[in-house]
Amino acid sequence: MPEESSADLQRCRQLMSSLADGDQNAADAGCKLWATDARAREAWHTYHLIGDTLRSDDLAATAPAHEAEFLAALRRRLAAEPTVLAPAPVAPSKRPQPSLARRRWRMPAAVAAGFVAVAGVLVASRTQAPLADSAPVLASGPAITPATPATPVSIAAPVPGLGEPQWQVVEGQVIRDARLDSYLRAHRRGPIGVPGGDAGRFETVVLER
Amino acid sequence: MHAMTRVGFRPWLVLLGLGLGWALAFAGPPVASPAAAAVPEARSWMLRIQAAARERSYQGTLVFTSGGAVSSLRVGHFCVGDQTFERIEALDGRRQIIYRHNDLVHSLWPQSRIATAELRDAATAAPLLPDIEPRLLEHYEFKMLGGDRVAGREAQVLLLKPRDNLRFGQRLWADAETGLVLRADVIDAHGAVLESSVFSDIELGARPQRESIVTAMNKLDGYRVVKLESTRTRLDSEGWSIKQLPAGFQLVGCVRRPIGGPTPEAGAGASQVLQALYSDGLSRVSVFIEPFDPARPRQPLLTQMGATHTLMKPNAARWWVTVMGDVPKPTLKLFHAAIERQP
Repeated sequence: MPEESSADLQRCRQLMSSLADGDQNAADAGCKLWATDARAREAWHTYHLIGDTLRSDDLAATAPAHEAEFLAALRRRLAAEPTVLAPAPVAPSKRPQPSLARRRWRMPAAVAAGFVAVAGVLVASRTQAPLADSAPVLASGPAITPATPATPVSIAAPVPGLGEPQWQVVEGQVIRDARLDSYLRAHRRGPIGVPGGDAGRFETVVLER
Repeated sequence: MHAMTRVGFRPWLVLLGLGLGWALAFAGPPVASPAAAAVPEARSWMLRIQAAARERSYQGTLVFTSGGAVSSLRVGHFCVGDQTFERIEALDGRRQIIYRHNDLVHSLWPQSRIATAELRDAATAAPLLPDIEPRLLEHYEFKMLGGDRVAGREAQVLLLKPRDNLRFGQRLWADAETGLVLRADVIDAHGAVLESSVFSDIELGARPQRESIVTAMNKLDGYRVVKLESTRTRLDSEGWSIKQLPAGFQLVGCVRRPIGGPTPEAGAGASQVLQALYSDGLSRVSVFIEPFDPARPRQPLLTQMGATHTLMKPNAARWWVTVMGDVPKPTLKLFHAAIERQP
């Protein structure tokens, strides 16, 4: 009996792991298990915490406790809903964790899209606000070395030396591939965190048409 | 006719005498004579820098400036016999500590109590300080820019200026006594500094903190430890070939590694990526290859952070290729175009 339960747990973790990795084949069985099994939800949460920690400062900035708290609140609210995917109007005061603005787009999107959206395949679009916020901080920092005159503002600037029509600069949006930091970690060595968050490091983002 | 042969002949004799390595160093520029005097000096500096990075023990604070952002690291690097021990702590933002004993690397995030343990191939574990090989003199012109002071120490400033537009230049401040690089600036074709690493303080010959590093590496109580296992491989055995590399770049190593995956128990599979690392003796480029599922679209993009440029886009609709390196964007495109799936 204990053996069977351990194999069961192993299978459950594998499934959540595949689901967290965005494996389509795991979607049906994984979602079902997630909805019914607390261990599955715990494994799911753990994998995301690990993934976020390894991927990016920004994603893992919130303490794990908040994440768990948020998930618990979300589940309670989901349980209270008559239909999960057709939300009824809810009084603003009942909204869970209104301060977690960033989570707000992540988690509900994940739930609605069958969890695939968070798995890190993808490109997260954000407004330029965090960049604008970080710019003055960086500018007033200690001028240790003659840094480039280019600031994150250059996102909308033309790309020097490239000048080819198939490259397009996206204005007002930071397009990030969530795996960029992982590549950076593999390419370089050493911590890559810098003040101002990950987005602050990207000067120029260009999309290929 | 006769005179021409003679003029062409004399440098050849010298080259034969200097050996193959130097001959290669001459191969770059058509006019080699003014550089000839600088080569032995350049070579000796490159060898000193290389030796210092491998053999010296030091600890200090390394300040890294990139794309207008500044971060600092507390670095301890200790060589005991043929063993290397290292401790790197991020002093800004989220807490992160990296311990290394030879090729075993532990990364700790104390706030989320998560740690990774991985064996890194010495060839692909890019060092914190610039990794320099004398063969870079084929593609960079060497100039001595005189003396300066860094972190309270006397330093010699060296300029490595690229001979073509495929790479960035670097200005190095090498410790006058030991050759250890105390500061490195990556500069673009217009002389603008893209990125800079500089020791704000450094203690050379620091007493090795071997025990404290080993103890910390064995004590991971309360941490969730994720093992990241990478395996050495070859591009051709993985079904890939590179037809024409940008001049001067040579393969440093090739590994299959897990990347960015929150999948500690999924084993080998979805989140594995093939990484081939190339170097021209100074600048490094990584090529990452992974299967691409059109059902999970990713956005092709080209980004820059400091000196590090990244190009990611699909190859033959079935593969996703990311080229990342401290080189100008056109060089990344050459790498991307050179990657070919073998039939």
